[in-house]
Amino acid sequence: MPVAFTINGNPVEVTVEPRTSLADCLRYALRLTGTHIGCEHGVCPFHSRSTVLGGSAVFEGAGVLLDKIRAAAAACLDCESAEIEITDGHAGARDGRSVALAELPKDGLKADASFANHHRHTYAYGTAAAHVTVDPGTGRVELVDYLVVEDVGRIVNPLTLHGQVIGSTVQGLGGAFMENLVYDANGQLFAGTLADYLIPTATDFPRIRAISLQHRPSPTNPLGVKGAGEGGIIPVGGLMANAVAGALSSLGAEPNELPLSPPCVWRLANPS
Amino acid sequence: MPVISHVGVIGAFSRPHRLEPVEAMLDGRNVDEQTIAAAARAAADAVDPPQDLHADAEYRRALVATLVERALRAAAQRRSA
Repeated sequence: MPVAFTINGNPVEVTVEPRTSLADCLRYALRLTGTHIGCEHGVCPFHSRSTVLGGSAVFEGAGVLLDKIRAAAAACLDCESAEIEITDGHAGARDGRSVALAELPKDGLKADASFANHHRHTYAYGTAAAHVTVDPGTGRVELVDYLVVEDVGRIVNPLTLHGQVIGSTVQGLGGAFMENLVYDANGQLFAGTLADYLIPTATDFPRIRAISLQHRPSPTNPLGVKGAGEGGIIPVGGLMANAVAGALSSLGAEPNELPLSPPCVWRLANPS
Repeated sequence: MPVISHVGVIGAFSRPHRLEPVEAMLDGRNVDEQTIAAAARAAADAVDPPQDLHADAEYRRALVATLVERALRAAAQRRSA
């Protein structure tokens, strides 16, 4: 769909898919690659709130707006609003007459909606499997393959969903292998810099496969969406500890703390 | 065939270090499995590893043995290839 707006004082016109997010439009269609998605409290998709709550409110609001558009078009075409069909930017009556949505009177074409899912929560539905090799001489764990599969109910934006799942999986792998908040007995933090507190980046865990399905919509919201992305991070710690235990099963190793740093895994493989 | 060896380690002292006693064990000898094992043990004994958040001294000492052993074996294989 064609979109026109003013950015940095310059009018622009661009054609994008209707589902393209504004940030993607700026970055990829207009090459404004300094565009980033800010993340602040209450805006992040944690607790599955962005799409479950915000998306459902937008969905409800769109329904209200659609009814108003039908009524406005029906008044314009002098027919029943129930017979109005909206396709391709036009509202049509059963007899074939139609009016462009852009030509409808703007007054009143606004909708307010809210959505709350009190006590009707959504959950992440998924599972993950991993293949690791453990070097008993160094304690190094290599992630040979990692597969995460989630049924998110309904996929709204495949690109951002995929990034969310991969990102949350890498975050989980950071917790499983690298990130360690070390304190002394007085509560003094030792891992106080990013040189000591290791955070995974894109090159640390290159072998991750993520598959998102939409077989079972959630019954608790009109979009049918569920937690998405959390399924990436939730299983990682237990999964990695079990994978290392499996690799070292001949030694009876039982990892029971994270991160599985090289010294930690080396001790499991070389019990004194 | 006799060799002239250089063995260097980092993270095993407060600064990068050559392990000259280990080099002396290897120089002029055939690098067989027995020599490699003895050199790895000697390397672990020779180092004075620091310890920090990321690794304790015991782990670093064992790691020196593992890595010296693997490096010598790889070098010997390259030489005989």
